[in-house]
Amino acid sequence: MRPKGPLGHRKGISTIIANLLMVAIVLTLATSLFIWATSSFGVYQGSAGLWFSSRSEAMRERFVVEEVWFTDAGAKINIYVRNVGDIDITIADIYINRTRVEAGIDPSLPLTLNTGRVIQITVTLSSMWGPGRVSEIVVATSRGSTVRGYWTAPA
Amino acid sequence: MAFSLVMWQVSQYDAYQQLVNRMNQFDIDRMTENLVFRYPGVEVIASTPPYKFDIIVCNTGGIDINTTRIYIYDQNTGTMVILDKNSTINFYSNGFVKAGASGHEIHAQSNYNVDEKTGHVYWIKIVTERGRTFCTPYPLPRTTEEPVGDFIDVGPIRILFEYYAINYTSPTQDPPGASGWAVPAGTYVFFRIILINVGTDNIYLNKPSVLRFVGYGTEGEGKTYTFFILAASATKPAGSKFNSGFIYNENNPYVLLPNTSDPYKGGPRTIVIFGADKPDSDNSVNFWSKPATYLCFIGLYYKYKEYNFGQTIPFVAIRTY
Repeated sequence: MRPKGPLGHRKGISTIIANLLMVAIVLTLATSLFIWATSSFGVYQGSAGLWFSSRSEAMRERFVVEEVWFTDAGAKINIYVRNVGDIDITIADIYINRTRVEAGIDPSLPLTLNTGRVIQITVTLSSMWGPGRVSEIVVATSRGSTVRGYWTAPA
Repeated sequence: MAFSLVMWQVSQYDAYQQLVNRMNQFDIDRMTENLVFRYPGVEVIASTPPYKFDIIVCNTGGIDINTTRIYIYDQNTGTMVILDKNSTINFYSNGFVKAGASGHEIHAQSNYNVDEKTGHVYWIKIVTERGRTFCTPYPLPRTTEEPVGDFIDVGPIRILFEYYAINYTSPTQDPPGASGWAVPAGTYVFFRIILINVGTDNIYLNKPSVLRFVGYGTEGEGKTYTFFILAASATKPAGSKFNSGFIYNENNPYVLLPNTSDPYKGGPRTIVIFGADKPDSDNSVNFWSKPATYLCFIGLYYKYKEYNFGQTIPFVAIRTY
C-alpha cells in the first residue's frame, strides 16, 4: 500500500513539476555563477589591464641625464635630462647622494618632459659641492623609472 | 566568457610583449651606437668670432647616429657652452653620422673659442638622439702605436728619431748617405732628415728652414754652423759649391702630405735636405776642421692651412771627427 501524501493523496510529484523545479534550480545557480564570474572577471580584467597599461607605459620610458654641470662656486648643480623614450615623462624626484632634494629645484617638481625634449634642472644646494668630489645623482619619474649616475665636480 | 577572458589576456600579453621587444630593440640600437673622436679631434676653421670649428668623429657602431646636442666644457675657465642644431648663436650642422663614416666633420659655430692654441683643456660631449653620450678631452692626448722616443711631434710635423734620423752626404759619400751622428770634420756635407705630416692638411716648407749646429765643449765652443734647406733633388756637395739646381725654390717646395684617413699615423716620409750657407745660395757648409761636439736645432718655417708657422726644435747632438 502506497503511503499518503500531505494532502491525503496517494500520488507523488509529477515528472513535469520535478523537471521544472530542477530547471529553476539550475537557472538560479547559473545566474549566480554568471553574476559572480562577470564580477570576478571584470575585477581581474581591470587589474590586469591596469598592470599591462602601467607596465607598458613604464616600459616606454627612456630618459638620460646627459650632462651635469657643477657651477656657481659650489652652490648649484645643473642637471640636463633628456627624454629619449616613446612617452612623455614626469620627473618626480631628484636624489643627490641618496638624499631627496626637497627644495631649491628650478623648475619645481614634478615637471613633465615631452618626448625628445631636454630640460635643465638647477638644484641649489644646502651645502656646497666639494671640488673633485663624486656625487651620486638619481632622477626618478612618477612611473618609477630611475636614472642613476656618478659625476665628479671640477677640482 | 572564460574563453573571451583568455583571448583578451593573450592579446594584452601579445601587445605587451611586442612593446617589450620594440623597446629592447631600442636599447640594443642605443648600445650599438659608438662614436670615436679622431685625431686631432677638432679642426679650427675660423679663429675669430664667430668661431668655427669641425669636430671629427668616426661612427664605428654599425648604426646611423643622429646627434642632438654638443656640450663643450672649458676646464680652465669653468665655462659651459651648449651647441644645439637649431640655436642661432651656438649651433652645429652635419650632425647625422652614417654607420661606418670615418673622419666625419660636424660643423660647429660658437661665440666661444674652442682652440688648442688657447692652451685650455676642453671636454667635448656629443649626445645622440637615442640618449648615448660620447665624450673626449681636447686637445686629444696622443696615444702612440710606436715605441715612445722614436719620434718628436711638434704641431703637425713629426720628426723621426732613430739611427737614420739624420744622415749626411759629402763629396765622397753618396745618397742615401751615412748616419750623421758622427760627421767628418772640415768636410762639406748635406744633411738629410725625415719629416712626416701628422696634421690634416698639406705642409709646404719655406726656404728659411735650417739645421743649426752650436758647438760646445773644450773644442769648438760657441762655433755655429747653419745649413739652409735644399731642393729635394739635392744629392751631395761637390765641394765649396754645389749644383745650383739644388737651390731651394719655394715655387717647387717640399710638400708633406697628410694621412687623411688616420692623421696620427702620419703621411708618407719625406726626406728633407739641408746644406746651403744661405737662402738662394749655392755655397756649401763645412764644419770646423778639428773634432768637436755640436748641438743641433731644427728651424722650420712652413705653410699649413694657409697660415705661416715657424718652429725651433731641439733635435740631436752630433760630433765631428
